[in-house]
Amino acid sequence: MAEIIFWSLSVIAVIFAFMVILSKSPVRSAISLIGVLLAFAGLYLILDSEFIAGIQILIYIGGITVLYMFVISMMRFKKINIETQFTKQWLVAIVSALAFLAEVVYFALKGKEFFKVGNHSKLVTANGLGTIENVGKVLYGKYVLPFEIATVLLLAAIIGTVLLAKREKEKM
Amino acid sequence: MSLYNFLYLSSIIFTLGVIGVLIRRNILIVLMSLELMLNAVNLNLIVFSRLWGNVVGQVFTIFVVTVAAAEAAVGLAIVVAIYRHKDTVNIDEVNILKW
Repeated sequence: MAEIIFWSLSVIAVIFAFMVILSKSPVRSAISLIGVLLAFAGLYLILDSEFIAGIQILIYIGGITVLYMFVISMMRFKKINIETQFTKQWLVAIVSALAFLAEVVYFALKGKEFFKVGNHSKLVTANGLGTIENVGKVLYGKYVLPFEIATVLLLAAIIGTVLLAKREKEKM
Repeated sequence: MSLYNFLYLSSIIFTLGVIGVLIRRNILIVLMSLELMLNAVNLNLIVFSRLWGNVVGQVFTIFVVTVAAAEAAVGLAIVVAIYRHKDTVNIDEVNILKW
């Protein structure tokens, strides 16, 4: 059962990822991005990470993608035609990215013995692994200092966004 | 269900994100491809968290989501500033640092 869900979700994720990088209009890309994020939330649910799946839907889909939608809706895209969609180095880019993929898969296969991935010999029973209680205990216990630093980062991002997006005053 | 398939899926999505960053001219779609790459990394972290039954991977996923939110906000603000300044979001026309 979980196998069927995994394969269908991964096919959905890959198709929507292709649509993100290939579609002509940014609105379609943003909606396809929502599809990828939803499929990933389902994968997190398979992996017993309920809290992260909720975070994914709340922050990524409800926050970031909607922010993209707002920015897209403020712009005009009338001048865009097909010739200006892709850069001229697309062939080199695709070849080097595929070389990167081959490299990653090769080293992942080499590490199969070391990490014991693929067989479930070291798989700890994961009942309630990703509940809010377990994640919160670690997040507010051992990792409370990085958590505070993340809040400072968000504050800096807010201030930077306001400064960047503010209309400059015309003072000549 | 082998957890190894998740790693393959994660590397495929990451590669698609790399391709999107490299071949697209629209800055908005480049930023969306960055989100794809960050999501692939998140999936990797969660797979290893599940494999060893250790919740620290999920904590790091929360940090990655935080950084992604900050990056999206600042990046979109830069896009809005560029659009106001040059009336385009085409990265080929943003070349004032070239000489």
